Amino acid sequence: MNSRDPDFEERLRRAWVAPDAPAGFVERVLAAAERRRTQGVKALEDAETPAGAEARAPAGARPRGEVDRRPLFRRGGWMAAAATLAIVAIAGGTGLTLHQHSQALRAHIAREQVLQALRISSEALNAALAAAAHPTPPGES
Amino acid sequence: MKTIPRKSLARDWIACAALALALTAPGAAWAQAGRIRFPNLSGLASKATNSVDISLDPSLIGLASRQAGTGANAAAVQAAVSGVKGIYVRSFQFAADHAYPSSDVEQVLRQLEVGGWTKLVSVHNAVPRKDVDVCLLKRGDRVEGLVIVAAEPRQLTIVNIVGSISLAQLSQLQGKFGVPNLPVAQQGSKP
Repeated sequence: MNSRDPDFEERLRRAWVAPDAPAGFVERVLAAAERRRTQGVKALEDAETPAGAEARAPAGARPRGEVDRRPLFRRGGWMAAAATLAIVAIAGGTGLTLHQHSQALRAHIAREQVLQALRISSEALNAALAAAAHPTPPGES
Repeated sequence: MKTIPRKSLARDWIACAALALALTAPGAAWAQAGRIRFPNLSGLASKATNSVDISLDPSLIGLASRQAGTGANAAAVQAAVSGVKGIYVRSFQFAADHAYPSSDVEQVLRQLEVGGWTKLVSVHNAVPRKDVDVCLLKRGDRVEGLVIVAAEPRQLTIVNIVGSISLAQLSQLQGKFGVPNLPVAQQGSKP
């Protein structure tokens, strides 16, 4: 149908025409952009400084690079300390047991030597006393 | 007149004292009353079929006494060694007659001629060659040493006991260690 619709044409025209920006729109956009730019630079700067890293670090964490010089049991290593004490006690007990065993062995050897020495001495003494009591006639062994 | 500097004199005296100490220190070990010096018998061990070399100082004797155990034998041993300070035994058995030099025996017997040693038993047979000597060192009523030298054709035994020991107790110990009494000793006890 070729009927002309003047309103249709007006609406079409208006649709093609960009509306004007509201007042202050440009200023607001520029300000927001500036804010975003400033915040990004600050974030980059904070990432490079210890204070900034500390500010972002969780509560209780130690600063990066610092050596923890606290004693083991204060660092929460009481279990390691207890294990060390147990190992020392076992090693000491083992050493003491070995020493006692060594002493017992030395005593046993000394006792055997004493018995052997007394046996030989006793035999020699009795042989001498017997020889003195009953001397061997010449020519006999 | 030339004078000797003081420093040099002091050094000389110190050197003399050190030399005297070095020379007498080894002898001091042998100066213990009741102890004799054994000759060098190391060569006899290689020729012997059986050899015994025992040297027990007071610490080892004490250690053995503490571990003597229980029983009549243990009590007899402890009673015998209660006053003993040292036991030194050298005994050799040989497969052939006279395998050891008589000079070794004479070297020991020479030491028993001085120093207060008293000969209790002295038996010497020329044929067969057999020398048995039992010597005691007494200081008053206290016995300080005992030496037994038994030189037989195929056996040489030298025993030196330092300290106080009873001959009766020592004689009675023979049958207490699983070793039977000697037939000779038994014959000696017969009337």
